[in-house]
Amino acid sequence: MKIRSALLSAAAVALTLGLGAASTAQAEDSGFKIMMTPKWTGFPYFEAAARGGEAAAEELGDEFVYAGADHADVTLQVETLQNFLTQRPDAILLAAIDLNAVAPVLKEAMEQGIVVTTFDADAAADARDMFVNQMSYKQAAKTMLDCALIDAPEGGEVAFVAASPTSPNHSAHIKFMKEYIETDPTYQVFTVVDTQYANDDDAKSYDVAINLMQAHPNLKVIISSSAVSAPAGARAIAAAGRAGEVYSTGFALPDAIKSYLEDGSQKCFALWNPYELGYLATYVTHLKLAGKLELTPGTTFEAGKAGSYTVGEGGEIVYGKPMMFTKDTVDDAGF
Amino acid sequence: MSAENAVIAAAAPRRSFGRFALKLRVSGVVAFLVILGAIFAVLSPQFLNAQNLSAIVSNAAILSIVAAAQAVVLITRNLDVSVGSIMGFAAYLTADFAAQHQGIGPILILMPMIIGGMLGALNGLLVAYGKVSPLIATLGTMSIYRGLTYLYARGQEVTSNMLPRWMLETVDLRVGGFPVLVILAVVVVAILGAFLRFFPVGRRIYAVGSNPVASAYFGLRTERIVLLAYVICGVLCGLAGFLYAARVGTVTVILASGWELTSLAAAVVGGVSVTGGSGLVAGAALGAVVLATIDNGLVLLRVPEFWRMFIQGSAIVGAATADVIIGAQIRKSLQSRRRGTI
Repeated sequence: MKIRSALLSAAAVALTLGLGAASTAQAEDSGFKIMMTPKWTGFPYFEAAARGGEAAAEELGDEFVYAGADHADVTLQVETLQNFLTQRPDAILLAAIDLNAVAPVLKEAMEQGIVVTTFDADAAADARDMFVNQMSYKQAAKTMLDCALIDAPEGGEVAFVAASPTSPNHSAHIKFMKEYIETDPTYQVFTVVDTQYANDDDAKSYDVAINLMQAHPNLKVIISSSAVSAPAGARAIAAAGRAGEVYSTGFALPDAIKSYLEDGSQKCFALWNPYELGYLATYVTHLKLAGKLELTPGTTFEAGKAGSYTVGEGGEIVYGKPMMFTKDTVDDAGF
Repeated sequence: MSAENAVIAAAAPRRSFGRFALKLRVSGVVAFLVILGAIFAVLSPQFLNAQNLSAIVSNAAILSIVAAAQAVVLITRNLDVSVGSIMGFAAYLTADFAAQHQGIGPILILMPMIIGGMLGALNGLLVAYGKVSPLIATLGTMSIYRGLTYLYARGQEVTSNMLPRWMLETVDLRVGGFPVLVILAVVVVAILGAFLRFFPVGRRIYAVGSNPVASAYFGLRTERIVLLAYVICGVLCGLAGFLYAARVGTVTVILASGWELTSLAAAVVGGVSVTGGSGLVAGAALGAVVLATIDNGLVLLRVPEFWRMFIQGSAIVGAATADVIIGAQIRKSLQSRRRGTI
C-alpha cells in the first residue's frame, strides 16, 4: 500500500510538473478561456462584476464565460465548478460561498493546472492561487467613518449595527472604527455609544434602529457594514420622523439607498466598485496565465484601466478603492 | 363523557374556575407585560415616554398579526411553521408586481391576501384531508414556498425606490397620534377575536382543538374547520408580509424567515395553548408586544444580545409551564364540578 501510494503521488507530482511545464512552454499572451462564477447570478452586484470581467477579457483577447446558480447554495456552486472543470478552462474565478466547501473541487482544478482566483469572498488559501480582496478591514472602517463625517461633520454619538457578534468582517470593521475614533483626530469628534446585532435581517435592522434612537436621544449616526441593515436604518429614520437629525450609513447597494439620498433624508453610503473588482480579478488572472505575474509579496504590477497594485501575503491582492454614494454620484454607480 | 364536557366548556364557557383560568391565561401575559414594563421603567427613564411606547407597539404591530394568525391554527391543535415563507412569497410577488405597475392603487393589498389564502389552503388540505402531521406538512411547505420565492426572484430584490410611494408613506402615517400600523393590527386582531368568540364557526375552531374526536362525534366537520383555520392564517400572513414589505422598504427573498418561531413564541407567551382548544388571539398579539418590549428595553438598558435571547427563552418556558399548571387546574375544576352535580 505504502509503495503504491508513494508511486501514485510521485506520478501525480510528475503529471503536475509536466502540465506546469507545458503551460509555461505555451506561454501564450491571449486566447485563454476564463470562467467566472458568482455567489449567485442575477444579483446586480455580481452582474456588474461579470461585466467588468468580460471587459477585461475582451481587452486582453481572452474567452470569458460567466455562469452559476440563481441563489446562494454552496452545493450548487460546487456543481457549477465541477461543470467548469469538464469544459477545460485555463482559469476559474469565483466568489466563494463557503471557505472550505469549495476547496476540494478547486484543488482538483489546480492539480489540472487551472489557475484559480477568488474575488469578493475567499476560499481556503491552499485551494486557490490568488484572492482579489475588495478592501482591507481597516480601509472599510475608514470609509464608513468618512461617510459618517459627511452625514455629521460636527460629530456626535454613533452606534454600530453588525450581523452577529461572531460575524468576522463586521466585528473587525467595528474594532477598527473604534480604534480610529479613539486615536485619529479626524474621527475624534465621534463617541461610540452602542453596538447592536440584526442578523442581516431587514425587519430586525429596522427595529434595532428605532430602538437605538430611543435609547440614545442624541444619536447622530448609525453605522453598519451590512448591506441589509444600512438601508433598513435609513427607512426607520424616515419613518420615525428623525430625518436630518439621525443618519444611517455604511455599505449598501446604490439601488437600495437611492431614494433616501434623493429625498435628502440621507447623505452618504459606501461600497466599492464591483465592475472594477471583476475587471481586476480577471486581469490578474490573465497576467498569471501569461506568466507575467509573480505572486511573491511586494510585487507590483499594472492592471490596465484599474491601475497598479501590489501583491500581498498569501496571494492576496487588495483592490481597495472605496466608492462613496451621495445624491450627486449615486446615479453614476452603474450597477 | 369528559370529552363532551370539554367541548361544551369550550363552546359555551360558564361561570366557573375553568372560565376564570381561561381568562387567567390572558391576564398572565398582561401581568407579565406590566411587571416587565415596571422593571424597565425603573431602570431606564426613557422607557415610559410616549415616543418610546409608540416605538414598541409599532415594532410589535406586524408580528402581532402573525401571532394571532398562528394562534388560530394552534387553537385547532395544529401549527403552521410556514408563516414566514408565506409572508415572504406573498410580499415578494406583490412588491414585484407593484414595481412593474407603478399606477396600482390600494387595491393591491388584496393580492398578498389572496396569495396567502391559497398557500394557507394548501397547508390546510395537507393537514386536514391529507392527514399529514401539521409539523411535517408545514415544514415541507415552508421550504417549498421559500424555494418558489427564490426561483421567482432569481437573485433580485425589490428596493424602496421601485415601490409605489403611497405604499411606503401609508405605513408611516399616524392617525390621532397613533401609528396606522398599530391601529390596523388592533382592528385585525379585534375582528379575528370577535369572529372566534361570537360566530358559531369561530366556536367550532375552539371545539375542534379542544377535542377533535368528540367534535367529530358531535357532528362537526373537523376537516373543513381545520382547513378554514389554515386559510385564515394564510390570508393574515399575506397581509402581514405586505405590511412588512411596505414598512422595511426593501423586499428580499429572505423576508420574514425565522418568523415561524417568533410567531409561535409570541402566541405561547400570550397564553395560547399548543395542545389546542384554548387561548385568545388578543393574548397572542400581546405576546408580540411582550417580545417587542423585551427587545426595546434591553437596548435601552444596553444589555448584550445574548441576554435578550435568554430572557425571551425564559418567557417562553415560563408561559408554557404556566399553561400546563392552568390546564391541570381546569381539569380538576371540571372533575369536581361533575362530582358536585352527580
